[in-house]
Amino acid sequence: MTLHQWLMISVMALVVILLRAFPFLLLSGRKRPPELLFYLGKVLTAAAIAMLVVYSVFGVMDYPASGWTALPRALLAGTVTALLQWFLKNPLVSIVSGTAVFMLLR
Amino acid sequence: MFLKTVRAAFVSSMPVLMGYLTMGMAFGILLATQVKGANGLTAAVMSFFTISGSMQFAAVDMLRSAEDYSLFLTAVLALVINIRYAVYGLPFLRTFRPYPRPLKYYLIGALTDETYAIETQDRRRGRDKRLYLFCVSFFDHMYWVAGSVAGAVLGNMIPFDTAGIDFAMAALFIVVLVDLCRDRSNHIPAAVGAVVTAAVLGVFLVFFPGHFNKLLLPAMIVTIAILLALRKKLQSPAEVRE
Repeated sequence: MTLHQWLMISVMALVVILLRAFPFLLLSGRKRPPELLFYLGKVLTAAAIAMLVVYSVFGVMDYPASGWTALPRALLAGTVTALLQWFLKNPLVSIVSGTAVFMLLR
Repeated sequence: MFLKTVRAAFVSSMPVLMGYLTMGMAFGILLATQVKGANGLTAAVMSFFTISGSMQFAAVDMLRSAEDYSLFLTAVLALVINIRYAVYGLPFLRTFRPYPRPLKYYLIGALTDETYAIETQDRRRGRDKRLYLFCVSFFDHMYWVAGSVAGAVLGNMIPFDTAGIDFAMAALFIVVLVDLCRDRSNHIPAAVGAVVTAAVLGVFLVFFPGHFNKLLLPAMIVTIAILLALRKKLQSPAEVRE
């Protein structure tokens, strides 16, 4: 762990803490918060998670050792994860099964 | 009275217990196997101060290639990934106001999706409610820290080849996305995020191969621009509060 990594960890924690404190810091409780905040809070969450899904699934192509060959099993493992979560609604089962599929198909 | 409330809080937090312990462990294992030099202490610090699954899983990827992330970029990504927290405190604005400062700050800092779900459903009043809210937040917080530390310790002991275990990160985001998509109103924002990221990824694949970890910022800027442009269409009348 380098100093820069510890600073990154601090920055991330600070941003999350400030976000949680945001309504208490800026809004008096009587005034309605800006409508734009509600809108962004809702749509940006779904958009950001979808972004991270695409990034992390296709990101497997960026590994020097695997490259393109990792993509098919990443797509398969991702589909398995999504289907399990959709029907069983058990995050642990979905994540462990999906990761196992990806690791074992090598 | 005191013990009764503590016990009630513990019972309420039970559904979160297994979830946080196991998800915390997954995070710890991932952190220890992916980031050089990360150990139980690293996991404890991250989990104690952040308490956010999606943030910490994304953090593993960022810490792994730390040289590509300036502190500014780190802050921007953290801001967008966690933007939902900016509205979480709203239902509690009035509830928390009369509370003593340390308690108020702790309750705010420890507010997560799961804790939020439990606490917004509570109908208690007065001192009893204070204690209940504190206990629920504290129990959930400790499950998360304990799971993470256990995972990191375990991750550093795993003797077998862990290549590919970082797919757990993708799997976690898929799980969160699937749950978000049970709500129809999330479909279009999610599609925008996915399509934009795929397009930016294509550009990087052709022009900047090997630099995938730099694509989140441009993808995020384009996504936010499109979502702002779509605001009138996506914001249904029911959601506009007066």
